[in-house]
Amino acid sequence: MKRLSLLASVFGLAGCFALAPQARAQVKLDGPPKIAFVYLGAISDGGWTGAQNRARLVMQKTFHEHIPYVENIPEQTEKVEQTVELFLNRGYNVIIGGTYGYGDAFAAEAKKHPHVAFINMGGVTTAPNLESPYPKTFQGWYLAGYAAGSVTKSKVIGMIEGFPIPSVLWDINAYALGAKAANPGTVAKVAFVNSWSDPVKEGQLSNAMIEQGADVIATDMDSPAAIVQAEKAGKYSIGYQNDMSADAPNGILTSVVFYWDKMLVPMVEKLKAGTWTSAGDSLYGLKDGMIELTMPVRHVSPAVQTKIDDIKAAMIAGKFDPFTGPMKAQNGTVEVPEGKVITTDQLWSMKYLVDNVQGSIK
Amino acid sequence: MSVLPYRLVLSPRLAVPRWLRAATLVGGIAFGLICCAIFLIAFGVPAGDLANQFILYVFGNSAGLDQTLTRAISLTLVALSVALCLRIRFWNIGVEGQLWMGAIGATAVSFYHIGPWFLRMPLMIGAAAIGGAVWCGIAAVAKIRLRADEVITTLLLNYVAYLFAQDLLYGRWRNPTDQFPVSPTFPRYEQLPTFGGWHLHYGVFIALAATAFCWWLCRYSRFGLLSQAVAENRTASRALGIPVARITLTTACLAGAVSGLAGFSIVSGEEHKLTQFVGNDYIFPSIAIAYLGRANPVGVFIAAIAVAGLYTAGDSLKAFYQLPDTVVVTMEAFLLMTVAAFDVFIRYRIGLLRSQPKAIRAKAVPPAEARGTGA
Repeated sequence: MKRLSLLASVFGLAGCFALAPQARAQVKLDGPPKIAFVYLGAISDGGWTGAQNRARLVMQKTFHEHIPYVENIPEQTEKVEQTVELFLNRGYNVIIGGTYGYGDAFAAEAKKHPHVAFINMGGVTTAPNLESPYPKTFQGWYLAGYAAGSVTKSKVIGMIEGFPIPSVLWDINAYALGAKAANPGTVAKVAFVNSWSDPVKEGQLSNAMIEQGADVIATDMDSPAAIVQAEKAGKYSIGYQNDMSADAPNGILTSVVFYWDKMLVPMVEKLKAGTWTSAGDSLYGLKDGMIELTMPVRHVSPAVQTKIDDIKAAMIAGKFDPFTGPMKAQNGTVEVPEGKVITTDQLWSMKYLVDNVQGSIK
Repeated sequence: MSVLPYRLVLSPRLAVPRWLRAATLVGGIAFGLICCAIFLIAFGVPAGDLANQFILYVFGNSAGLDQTLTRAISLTLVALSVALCLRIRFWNIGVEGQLWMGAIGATAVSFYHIGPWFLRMPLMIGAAAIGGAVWCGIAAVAKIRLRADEVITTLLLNYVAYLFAQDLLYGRWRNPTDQFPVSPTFPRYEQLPTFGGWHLHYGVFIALAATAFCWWLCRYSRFGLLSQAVAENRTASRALGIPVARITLTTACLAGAVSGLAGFSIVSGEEHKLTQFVGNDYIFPSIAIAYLGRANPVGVFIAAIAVAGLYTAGDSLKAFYQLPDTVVVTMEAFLLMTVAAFDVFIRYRIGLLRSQPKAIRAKAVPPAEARGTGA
């Protein structure tokens, strides 16, 4: 069982879509869907877990049933498995987890319980009955980067990040590319907190970036701490996961907001109908409504707003992708050649920063 | 003073019968559980569900029992460590640090591929024991040589070990695949086997062996007898030629080794890698369990299972009644307080006295105790 989880994580990370065909079988639940959520943080975190909890509340309303949850479960295999089994033990058969680090535990449980549907938001491990969905956050961050690029005066913008994993790296890369498109020559500074939530450090890094000349601070973290500091310093900011405008009422440009319910509600409907199949590590974007930008973007000219709306429409229509060649990494390697668009495999194996990002993965 | 016709009188007991010791412990635990129940009902848990939550889902079905026993392994080991030290009045508040060093030792053997694969597991066990022993040994040496208070040294060494682990996880040992602060996953031959489809792993044998060894050591060995003397009076023991320093150091190292084994059991049996959470939240439970088990190895083993059950119940209370994490800690504190409070029945004989001003018997009781709890 552990061997499988190891394999699953290795292959998942390598973006092994060879597993996908095998993952197409329909999952037979042993009864009507009974849903439960397992959260990494507290529902009051104002960020990651808060956004997931919004989806749970929407689902409660849509399906007219009480959906239990547990909060503050660390990314610790034993703890996650125990929590999952707590629900399984009482007949819950749709377990929705909420973080990358639950991946191995969810893969192990999925193997053990083939008649239970597992969904791990933000994960990468997959199984016939385990889907790891994630929003195409890079679409939102490209637009946010465009907004940041058009308001920056110092041509230096900053972003506070968690861990340098692919789904985080594509945020900073899209943000930097968006800023470059709006204002050539803009550089994006990045700092990794090495945690999903460490408000004190987030605030310190935010201050450090402002001292180094950044005049727009974006947070890719679970808490609004970084943009609160930007607000204090009178700088612009961009929120994440929830509308964070209350935390930085003057300086905020926009927030990149998650709507997990846009993907979870249809999924549960399919489970009820008995037609759900795991889509592996699936991505849902602007088109599905799972990722959004709070509109209108503040502090930008009407012309920039129109441009942002146009790019957004193009992404929804599938006519534009933020990672379109030529795209160069920091070390000069061409990652996406001229005329090409990044593939899903390349997205999941992103391990570089683009050339106008300042910062290091290590 | 008192206008009531009777008053409560506590008189010290000279000899304590065995049944009374057991009865007060059971009474204390029962009373504590009743307090917990009232507390939970006040928090909105339906009274009818309590029996289910505390008995059926904790010990009554395989999933609950599995969780409880798995959790009891590491709890037994850390509590044994505290209990061993308590027997010579050495306050070991550093089980987390020793556990971290044990986990680090075991992971180091895995990470640097020390020894052939079939020797890997014993080497990991050895490294874990040494890691923990050294960590607690430092505090003992500081106590013997520098007269440093072990409460402070063991406590602070926790942070040193934790930060050392953090340094490794964010540096050298960081997972190369995703830069996550966890060590690479152990290969199968470095993982403790589990029982069938259970989470319960062979670490349970380590816990049992450690309990048996400690029991033998305390009860039947010459070492245990000498430590009893050290506990009673260090100065007198030294005067009698008992090697106090050596006994202190040996006990501390043994205790540290036992905590280190808990670290091994977690990384090899449960997580299969070193994570940032391996040594979290063990200090308070270790002391609570050692106390509940009266520093007796067998008692500790039983108390560890009971406290593990409390944690399992706490998990489901958290999931199904949205109670905060602190509820479990509060319940643990209730039990500890009631058990401690019930000690009064062991130490004192409680009697009712007719309080007549001129009664001669009232004089026979020393005034200090007589006034203890005037009804």
